[in-house]
Amino acid sequence: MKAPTSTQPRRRTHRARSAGPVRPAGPVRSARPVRPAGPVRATHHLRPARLPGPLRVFCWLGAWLLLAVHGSPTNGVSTTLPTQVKRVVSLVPAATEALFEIGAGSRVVAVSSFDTWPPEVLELPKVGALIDPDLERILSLQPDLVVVDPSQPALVVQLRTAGIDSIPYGTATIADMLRDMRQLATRIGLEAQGRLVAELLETQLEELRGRYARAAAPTVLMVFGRSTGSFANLYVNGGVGFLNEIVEIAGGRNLFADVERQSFKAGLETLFSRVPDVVIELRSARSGPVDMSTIERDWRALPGFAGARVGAIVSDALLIPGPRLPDSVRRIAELLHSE
Amino acid sequence: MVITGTRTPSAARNGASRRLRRRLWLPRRRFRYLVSAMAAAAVAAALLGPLIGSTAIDLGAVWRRPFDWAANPDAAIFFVARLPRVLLALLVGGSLALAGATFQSLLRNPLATPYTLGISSGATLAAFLALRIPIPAAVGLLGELTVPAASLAGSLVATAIVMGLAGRRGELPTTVLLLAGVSLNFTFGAFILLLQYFADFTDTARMVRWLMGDLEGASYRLLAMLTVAAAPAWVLLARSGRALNLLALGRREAAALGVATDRAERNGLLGAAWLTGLSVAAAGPVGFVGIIVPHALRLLGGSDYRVLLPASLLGGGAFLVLCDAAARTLLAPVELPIGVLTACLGGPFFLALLLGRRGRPGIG
Amino acid sequence: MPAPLLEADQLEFGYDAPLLRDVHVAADGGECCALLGANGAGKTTLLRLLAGVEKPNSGHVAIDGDNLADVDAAHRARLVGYLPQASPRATGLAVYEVVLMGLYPLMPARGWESLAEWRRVVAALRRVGGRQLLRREFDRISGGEQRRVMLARAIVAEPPVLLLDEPLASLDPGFALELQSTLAELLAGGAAIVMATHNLELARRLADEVVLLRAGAVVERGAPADVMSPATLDFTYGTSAFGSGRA
Repeated sequence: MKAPTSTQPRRRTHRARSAGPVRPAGPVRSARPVRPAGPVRATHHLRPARLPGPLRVFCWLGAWLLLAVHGSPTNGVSTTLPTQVKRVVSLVPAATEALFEIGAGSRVVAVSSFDTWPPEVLELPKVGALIDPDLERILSLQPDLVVVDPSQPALVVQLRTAGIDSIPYGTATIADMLRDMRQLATRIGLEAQGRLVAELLETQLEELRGRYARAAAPTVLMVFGRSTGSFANLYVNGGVGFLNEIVEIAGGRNLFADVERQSFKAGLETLFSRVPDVVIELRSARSGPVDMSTIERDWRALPGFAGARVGAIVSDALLIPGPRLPDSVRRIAELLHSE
Repeated sequence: MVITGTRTPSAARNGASRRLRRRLWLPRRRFRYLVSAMAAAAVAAALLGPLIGSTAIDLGAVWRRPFDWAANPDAAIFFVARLPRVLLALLVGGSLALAGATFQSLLRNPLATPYTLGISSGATLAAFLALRIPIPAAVGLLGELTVPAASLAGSLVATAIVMGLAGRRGELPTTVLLLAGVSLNFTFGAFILLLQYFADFTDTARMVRWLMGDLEGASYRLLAMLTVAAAPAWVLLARSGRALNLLALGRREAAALGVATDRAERNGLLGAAWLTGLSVAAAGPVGFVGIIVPHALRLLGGSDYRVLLPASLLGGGAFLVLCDAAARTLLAPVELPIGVLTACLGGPFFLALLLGRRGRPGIG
Repeated sequence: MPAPLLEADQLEFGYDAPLLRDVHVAADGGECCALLGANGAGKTTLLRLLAGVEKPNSGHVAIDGDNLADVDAAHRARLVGYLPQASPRATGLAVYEVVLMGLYPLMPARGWESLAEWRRVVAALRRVGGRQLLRREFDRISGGEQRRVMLARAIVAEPPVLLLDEPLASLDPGFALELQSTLAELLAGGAAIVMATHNLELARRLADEVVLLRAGAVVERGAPADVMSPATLDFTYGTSAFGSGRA
C-alpha cells in the first residue's frame, strides 16, 4: 500500500522537470517554483508499506532452509526393496573385483576408469571414477544399481532422480570392505555367496597373520607418489586404513603407525627421523616399467638408509582392498621376511 | 521505434530528433539490442546445451510419455545428466559475471573479479574443511549439500571479515577493501595449501578437482535453492545500474549526484559477495567468467552499467553454457574441467575483441 | 527578511585536526560567493560540505529551507550542481553519457532518459562550448575539455545552487572569458553560485561577496572591492607579494 497523497506530487515533479520542453539556456530561477518544496520534504521518509526488512529476509531464509532440509538423502543407503539386479555399474575397483568373485561378473555392465582386474573388465565401458563420474554414460547404460564411493552423495541424488538405485562401497579399512561386500551381495540377491567369499577372506587373512607373526617384527616404511630421482611429492602410509592392516598382517610394524591418517605427505626430515628395516615403494602399473636398481640407489643414498632393505611393488592390486588381499599380504611378506 | 515524450507536431522537429538519435547510440537502444541479444543467447544456450553430450541419445524418445526416467534412458540422460548441468552453468555464469561487473564498479578497478576480495578463498577453505572433516550431524541433515553449505558459510565469513576490516565509520574505502581482500586471499590461500598438504592422496585429488570448477553435481534441488537464493541479488544488482555508474567514478561524485553512497556500496558489495558465494558453493571457483564477460560486453555496448549489468547476467550464463558444452565434447568421452575451458576459450576471445577494437572510435 | 537560498552556519569539520572552524557562508538566488584562500585553506572541503558530500561535525547547511542533514541524497542532488576539483579517470564513457549523469537526480528511479533529456545534454554542452565533444570518449579528450564536460554536467539539471571548485582551472583564456559570461547568465537566471577559485580577477568581476579563508577559518568577508585589499590578501595567502609591506 502506498501513500498516494504524498507520493503523487513527487512523481509529477519528475515529469515536469525531466520530460518537459527544453529550456535551451533558460533562466534557472524559473525552474524553482516547479519544485514544490513542501511535499518533497514531507515524503522522503514515507515509504510504501511492506514487510519490514529483517522480517522479509527472515521469511526468505526460512523458505530456503525448508528447501534445503526437504528431501535430504539418507546418505546413499538405498532404502528400496531389493529387486532383481541385472545390470550393475561399479565405480569402485574393489567392488568390481568383489562382484566378479561372488559370481556376479556377468551383471557388471561398466566399471571405473581405474579398473584393470579381473581381465574381463578391460572389455567393459569405463565411466569415470571417484572425482569424475560420467553421469551421462552411466545413465545411457541403463543400470539397475550403481556401486559408488561413500564420498559421492551428489551422484547418489542424481541417480535417484533418474530412478536408479545406488549402494555405497567403503574401502577405508578391511572391515568396511567386508561389511560392504556382504551388503552388496545381499542387494543383488547373492547373499550366500557374499557371506562365503567374505568369510573365506577373513579366514585367509587370519591364517596369514598367524603365519607371518614374528617376535621381532621388522619396521616398515611404505611410500608412494614420488618419481625416481626425487623425494618430492612423497606420500607415506599412515596408521589408518587397509594398507596399514596389510603391513601388520604380513608381520611388519608400520613405522608411521602413530600418524592417524591413511597417508600423508612427508619431507626428507620426516624420513630421516625414523629409519626403517624395510622400505617398500608402491608404484602404479600405469606409470610404466620400473628400474629396481635406481629405486634402491635413491633410498640407499639417504643418510641412515644404507642398511635398509628396499623393495618395490609395481602393481595396482595393492591399492585395491578386494579378494586379492591375501596375495597383497604375501607379496609384502616376501619383502619383509626375505632373509 | 517510438520514444515517448518527444511527440511534437512539427516535421522539422521530428527530423532533428531522428538525427540526434542516430548520432548518439543511446544507452536505451544499446540496452534493447545488447540485452535482447544476450537473452537470445542465453535461451539458445539453454535449449541447445542439453542436445550435446558424451553419448548419442534419441531426442524423439526424450519426450515419450509416460515420463518414467527409470524406463527411458534417453529421457534420464536429458533430464538428469544434461539439463540440470546446463541450467547450473546458466545460473553460475550469470551470477559470476554480474558479481564481477559490480565489483569492477565498486572497487573502481577494471581488473576486479568476483574473487578479488577473498570471498572464494574463504569458500574454498571451508569446502576443503568439509571434505576433510565431515561433521556427521550436518552430513545427515544436508546430505549432498554439505560441502556447498560449508563453502557458502565460508564465503559469508570472508565477506564479513573484509567488510569488517574495511568498514570503519560506515564507509568502505576502496583501497582498504582491496588490500583487505588481497591479504585475506593470501591468508586463506595459506590455510588451503596447509589443508592440501595434510590431506591424503584421494582427498588431494578431490580438492584439486574442486578448485577447477565442477558443474557435475547439479541436482534440481540445488538448482531450486540456488535460484531462490540468488534471485533477490540479481534483481538488486541488475537494478542498481545508475548508482553503479556514479560509484564507478568515485564516491563523492556519486554522493553529489544523488546516490546514498554508504547504502548503495554496502548493498552492492553484499549482493555481489552473496552471488559469488553461491556460485562457488554450487560449482567451485570457476575462473575468468567474472572478468571476461563484463569486459567483452563493455567493448560491445559501452560502460553504462544500466546496460552492462543485465547483459552480464544473461551473457555470463550463455558463455558458461557454451564453455561447458565444449568441455563435454572437445575430448569426449574425457571431460575437461570447466575452469580450464573458460580460461582457454575466454582468453583468446577477449584478446580478439580487444585487438579488433583498437583504432576504432569509441562508443557512441 | 527571508533566509537566503543557500545558508551554511557555524560549520565545523575535520577528521583528526579541524579543517574548518565556525564557517558561515550564504548566497541568495542570483548571488555569487567566491571562496579565496591559499592551497589547503579549506575551500574544497567547504564546497563538499555545502554539496552534502561530506557531513559537518557540527553546524548545518540549508538550501531553500531544507537542512541537508535531513533530506535524502536524491533530493539533495536536485538542489545542488557540483563541479568537483578533479575529473574522473578511466570512465569508459562517452561525453554525452557523462553529462547525462547530471540529470540522474531528475529522472524517475527506473526507466530510461527520453529525447528531451538528450536535448538538455546537448544544450548544456553547447553552453560550455563543448557541443563538438558530444560523441567523443571522455577519457580521450584533453583536460580542459574534460573540465567543460564536467561543468556541463553540473549545470545540465539547472539546479538552484551551483558549487564550482576551480571553474577556470585548465581552461584556455578565451574560454575562461566565455565562461565568465556564462556564469553571469546563470546568475541572471536566478542561480546561487558558490565557487572556490584562485582567480582574483574572476572573483572581482563576478562575486557579490568574497570569503577569504585561512587555515579553515574565515579571515574576512564582504564585497570584493571592500575586502580584497593588498593587506588582507597578503594575510590570506601568507605572502607579501600583494604589496602590503608586511613581512
